[in-house]
Formats: sequence, C-alpha cells, structure tokens
Amino acid sequence: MKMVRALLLALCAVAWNAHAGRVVDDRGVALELPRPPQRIVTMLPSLTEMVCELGACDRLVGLDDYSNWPAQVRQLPRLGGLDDTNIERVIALKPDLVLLASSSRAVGRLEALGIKVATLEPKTLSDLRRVWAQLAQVLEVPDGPARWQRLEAGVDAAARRLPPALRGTTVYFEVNSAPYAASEDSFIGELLARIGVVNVVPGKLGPFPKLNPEFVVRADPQVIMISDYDARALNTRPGWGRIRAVRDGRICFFDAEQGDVLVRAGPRMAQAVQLMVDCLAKRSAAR
Amino acid sequence: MSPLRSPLTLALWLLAASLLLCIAGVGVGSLGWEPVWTRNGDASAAILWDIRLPRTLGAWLAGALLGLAGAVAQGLFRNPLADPYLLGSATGAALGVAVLLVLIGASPMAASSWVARLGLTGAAFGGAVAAVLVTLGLAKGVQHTLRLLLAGVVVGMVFGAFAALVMFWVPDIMRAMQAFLLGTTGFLGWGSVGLLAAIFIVNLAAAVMFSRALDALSLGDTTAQSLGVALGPVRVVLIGVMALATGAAVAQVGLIAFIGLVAPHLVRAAVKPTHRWLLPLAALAGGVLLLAADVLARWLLAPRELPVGVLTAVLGGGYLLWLMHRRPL
Amino acid sequence: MNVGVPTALQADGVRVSLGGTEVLHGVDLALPAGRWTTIVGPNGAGKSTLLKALSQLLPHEGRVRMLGRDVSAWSHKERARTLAWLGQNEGGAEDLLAQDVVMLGRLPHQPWLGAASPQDHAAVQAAMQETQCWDWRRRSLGSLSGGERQRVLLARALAVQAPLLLMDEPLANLDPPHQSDWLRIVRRHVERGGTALSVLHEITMALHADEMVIMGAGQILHQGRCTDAATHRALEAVFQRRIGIHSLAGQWVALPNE
Repeated sequence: MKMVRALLLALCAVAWNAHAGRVVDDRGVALELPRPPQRIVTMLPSLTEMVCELGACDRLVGLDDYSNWPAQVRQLPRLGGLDDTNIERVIALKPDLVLLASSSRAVGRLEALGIKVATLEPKTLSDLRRVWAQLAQVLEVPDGPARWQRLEAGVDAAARRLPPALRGTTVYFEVNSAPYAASEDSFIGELLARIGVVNVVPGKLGPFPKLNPEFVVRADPQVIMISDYDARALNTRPGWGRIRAVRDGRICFFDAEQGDVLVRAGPRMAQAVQLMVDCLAKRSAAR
Repeated sequence: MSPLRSPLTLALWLLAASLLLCIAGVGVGSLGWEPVWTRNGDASAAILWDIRLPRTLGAWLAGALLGLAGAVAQGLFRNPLADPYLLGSATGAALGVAVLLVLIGASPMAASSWVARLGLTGAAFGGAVAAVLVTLGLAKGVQHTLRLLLAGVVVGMVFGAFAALVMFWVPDIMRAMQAFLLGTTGFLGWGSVGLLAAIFIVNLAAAVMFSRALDALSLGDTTAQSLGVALGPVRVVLIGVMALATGAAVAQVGLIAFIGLVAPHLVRAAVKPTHRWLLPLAALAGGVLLLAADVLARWLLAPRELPVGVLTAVLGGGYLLWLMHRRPL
Repeated sequence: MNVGVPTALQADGVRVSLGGTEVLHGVDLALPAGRWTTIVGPNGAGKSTLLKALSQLLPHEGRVRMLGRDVSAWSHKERARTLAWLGQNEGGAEDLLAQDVVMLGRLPHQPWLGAASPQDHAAVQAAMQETQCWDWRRRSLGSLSGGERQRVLLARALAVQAPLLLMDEPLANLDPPHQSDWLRIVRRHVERGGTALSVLHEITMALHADEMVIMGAGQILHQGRCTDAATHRALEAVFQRRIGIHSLAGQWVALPNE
C-alpha cells in the first residue's frame, strides 16, 4: 500500500511538473509557466502556423506582419517584423508568452520588461519535430505527438503520390535570382529527399548557397523549381538554354502564396510536398 | 622600383594583364580552375562560349566604364576623392530596381507588359539617368561645380532613403535587392556585352575629345574659360558621359563600389599623364581591377560565388593602402 | 589720353556686381595698343575685377571692344587666341608635368583632336626658355616651389602668343632676380608689338610700365604716363600719402612715408 501511495505521489509530482509548462527554447533558456498560456504572441509565420495546427489558434492575440495562414489569423493585430517589432504594442496586448525567432532583436528588450519569451526557429525537419514537441508541451496540447504523426503521415502520403518512374529525377530549386539555391541541407532539400528526387546542389555548400550559374548548367537538372517571376527569364540566362529542364519545359514555377508554403519550415509541409509532387508529375517528360 | 614614366608602357602592361585575366576568366568555372578548352565535347564549347567568355568580357567592360567615369568625375570636379556615383546615379539605379520589383510583385499581370520587357537592367539604367537629371535640375544647370556636387550628394541620400522606404513597405523584394546591390556578373550574355561595348566606345571617344578641356579645367574655371573652353557645353557632355557610363555598368553588374575611385589613382601613382592618356588608362585599370575581382570571386569558393563588390573593395583598397605606405602622398 | 595711338581694349561704362553689391561703377578705359599699362590701387579697388571683366571672364554691363570690334562679335577661340590671361593663384593641376601645363596655353590654336603641331612645341619651348623653366619641364607641377610654379604658369600665358597679355599679380612668389626677368619679358612682348596689362601691387615695379591706371573704390581715378608728375601725385593721393614717389638711380621708386 505504501508503495502504491509513493508511486501515486511520484506520478502526481511528475504530472504536476508537466503541468507546470516547462520548456527549453533554442537559446537553452528554460522557461517556467505556472499555467498554460492563454494570450500568445508569435513573431514568426511558421510558429503561427504551428500554434494553429496544435489547435491553439484562438489563444493568439498578436502576430508579425507576414503571418497570413490560416485565414482566421488575418484579423489579429500586427506587431511588426523580425527587426522592427513594436515593443509597445506587444506589451499593450499583455501576453503571457511571446514566441520569437532566435535572431529577433526584441528578445532582450521584452525579457527586461518582464515578458515570458521563448525563441524557437525551426530550420530543418528535426528542428520542426523538436519545436513541435516543445510547443505542444508549453501549450498543454495533450495529443501533440499524435498530431505530429498525422502531419508526417500526410507528408509520406503526398510523397508516395509521385509516380515511381519519376523517382531519382534531378531537381534544382532556386530561392532567389542571384542565384541562391536550396541545397540538400535546407528544409526544402529534406522534403525533396522524402519525395525521392535528387537535389543537384549538395549539402556541403550550406543550406542556401549563392552559386556560380555555370554550376547549374553543368549539373543539367531535369526539373527546375523557381518563382514564377524568375521563371520567365530563364531562357535569357546565358547557357541555360542547354539545360534539360529548360529545353523540355519542365519548369515548376510557384507564385507568392505557394512560395510561402514551400519556404516556411512549418506544419504545411504536406501541402508543400503536394505542390512539388503535382508539378513533377504534370511536367513529366512524356516523350 | 621606379615609377613607369611612359604612359604607353603602362598601357601595354595593362593590356597584357587584361589578356592574362581574360584567359584566367575563361579557365575558372564552377569547379575552380578547369581549362575547358583542353576537353572536347559540345558541353565544354557551350560553357566556354556561352557562359565564361561573355561573362569575362562583360566584367572587363563594366570595370572599364567605371574607371573611365571615375577619371572624368575627378577631372570635372577637380577632386581626387570624386567617384562616378557622385551625382546620385548609384542610388538612382537602386531605386529604379526597387520600384520595378514592387511593380512586378504587385501585379503579375503587368509583368507581361512593358514593365517586364524593361527588365531589371532597364530599370536600373533609367533610375541612374533620372537621378542625374534631378541633380542637374537641383543645381540649376552646370555652371557651379560646388552646387552640382552638393546636389548630387543630396539626391544620392534622398533616393537611397526612398529605396530603403520601398524595401520597408514591401520587404519581399529585399532578397532580390540584396543580390543587385552586392553586384554579380553571373548572367552577362553576349547581348549585354554588345551593349556595354557600344556604350564604352561612345563614351571613351566623347571623353577623349574633351580631354584637353579637362586638363584646362584643372587650372581653374576662369583660366579654362580664358583659353577658349566653353564651360557649359563641356560640363554637359562630361556629365552625360558619367551618367551613361555608370548607368550602363550598374544596370548590368549591380553596384560595384570603389573601382571608379581607385582606378585613376592607380594610374596616377605610376605615371603623370594628361587626360588624353589618363582617361583610356583609367578605363584599362578599371577593367583589370573588376575582372581580377570577378575571377577571384568565382575561384575562391567554387562552386559558390562571392559578391564581386566585396572583392573590389578589398583588392582596390588594399593596393591603394600599399601604395600610400610605400610613397607618402 | 594719347591721341593717335590705336586702342587695344576699350571699355565703356563697365559695371560689375558681385554678390549683390556693385563693385565696379561705370568704368571707362582705353587701353593703348603696343604699350605696357599697369593698374594699381589699394586693396578692394576692383583691379582684378576689372581685369576679369575686360577678359570676358565675369558678367558685366557696359560695352567692351577688343581691337575695334565688340567682344560679343568674337568667337570663344578667336578671343582666346587674341587675349591671354594669367590669373592669381591658379590652383590644381598638381599631377600635370610642367611642359603639359605650358602646352595648355596652345589650346586656342589646337583643333579638337589631333596631336600638338611643331609650332605648338616651338611655342612651348620658347615660352619656357624665356621664363627659365625649360630645364625642369618634366617635373610635375606639384613638386615645384612657389616661384618655379609661377614661372611655369607665366610660360603658359606666353605660349598663347596672343597680342594682348593680361596678368593679375604675376609677381607672386617671384624673387627679385626673377622679377627683373619678368620685366624683361614684358618689355620684349611690347617691343614685338604686343600689348600688356598687368595688375600689380608692387608700386616700384609698376612704375616701370609705360602707362599707369590708378583705381580706387571701383572707379578709375587717374590714367597717365608713369613718368608724369601728375601720375605720381595721384598715386600718393590714392594711398593717402603714406607713400612717396622718388627718383633713384634713374628710376622711380615708391617708398613708405614714416
């Protein structure tokens, strides 16, 4: 009997600790919250999306300028960007938790003013998994892990929709016309790997390297993924007319909204994979 | 090492350096040093002719344009610290590019019309020329060089502020703007090379025609006038040369700093020429400088590319520092 | 006024305003050809301004005629070939070689393009030898001392080979031997039929000229031969009798009155 009571007490203690909402953010700072937060401010679009996916959308009271999904958050007050967060308005909303990117300049200021701040910035898939768990814990969402499984399953399901014949297609994903590319090490690169295609830009160059355009011509990718504006000028780039993707017209171009889905390391990754798979399948070399 | 006395010798040295760098430029690619002419095959020829050669020549031409414009600026304003961006052309180009990016982003429909046809290069060129025109208007003509200088500084600052404002309103364009501002020769094709070459020849001819007037100006406005130099038309033509040259260079390769400032000084450190020699020599020196920076930018971290503007500052500034150390100015 | 002597430069009612204030009040001047005239006066009298206005380097009201024709009838280059001007403190040009600076004096004779002609080279050499700077023709202007520089600039004005030679404070930085060299140069120019007009504040040197124009407060107070007593008295008057003109060893000299 004593054993059982001791065990029960221990269990309660553990449960109590879990209930106390303790999270360690990217800086390694441990955050203690007495209650699950009810007034949350997020200053990163992917964090906004994750909070909403975890079912805590109604607890959001303020967002950054670029958060635009899901639709219900568009009514919320906007508090600036990464570098020009409006401290006054943040304080005025009386949040009990502010979620920021690690590179934000508002961190020190807000903490000095007594606000609870957690810096979380998912850049890769493993980051995403970790941040998801942390958020689930601090928001006290009981089925956090289960939701994550559903997300992963969605990604796998979308990835499986790629016709087997297209596995191993070489892809070049351009993020910016300098040109900056997304390599294997980036979030986009990880998703491409899940789909089963090959990224021509190796991971050792960094996640978003600025390339010599000649590199792409040599790599001769079969498919190019790029923004719709830059897609128009691909033919005028010297030497790019020889690339298979350009010759065969296998260019996947994405508009601004789709670009958001692809570039943000967030819970819409299944949708991102879907976009890429759809495009690959549609523009398969039928010849 | 005694300084080279003859401008002709210096010209030959610079031409030789240009040739060597051209060979290097054609030999450096995404894998570092790899002379593709030793290998056969369609792909190698294409890489050589379509990508590396126009890029190398374009870099040299852009540098030559900037060096020429720098020499003209220093002669026109009688100031060794003058650079070709003095009349606001740099920030004018930046503003033009920013506005175009916003228009493209705001309405993809418009992107298929004249806006898209104009392209980034057209917008940059238009912005640069517009800024110079505003400077001329502010200074109420070309009579007073001091007023021109002040107006140029003001226009440069104001247009820069406007460009920053545009970036603030539409932060989506920041990535593209940064690429433009840091400078790259990555996408120069034969069309760009042709354009740069044509503008270079026209500007060099015009500037050399007025080289005696520039020399006379160095004795002071009144003396130049007493020698029969028509100050007004001379200034208009020279400012036109500056605007065209910097506008064309900035439009094709982005904002490359320092070349216009440093190239004439490098020439003057070696010889003491009149403008008839200084102008073409400064152009040669500018071409060599930019091409060297470009080759290094491609080589050091292949297949990644450093922004060329960073290397021009390091190369040009470093050499100037070394010169100052060796012979006190 | 010397009747019968042709006039090289004629000014009628020349007014100049600088920065809102009138600096020259209706100046009439007839500069005799083939003579050396000098303009003297206290500081701020408007001497340099008059010189610049006559050379068309300052906007002015009133008429100026050069060699009988109104100046507006002359083209830029014609005027530059006829009137050579040497200013005060001609700055800049540190990097140019001395011979290149002097060659600039040939600008009015040169076409747009094309190299310097043999006449140009001959003129440059002659000018530099007259001012004794031919030996260091390949030195840059910035490396010369004040006096050497002034000689190069003087050579530049001489190289124009213009019949009218107008000089503003040409003796700046020149030591006495070179000042007498300058005297010789001006005399030779006049002997060859040229006209010289110089603004000088060294009164003793000015008294070597043929004619003297005395200015004060933006107007011409007296014009006459340098040897005339009337000129001397006018000179003493404009300087408030703080100088006296005396004869010394056959020359007129100006000495301060204690």
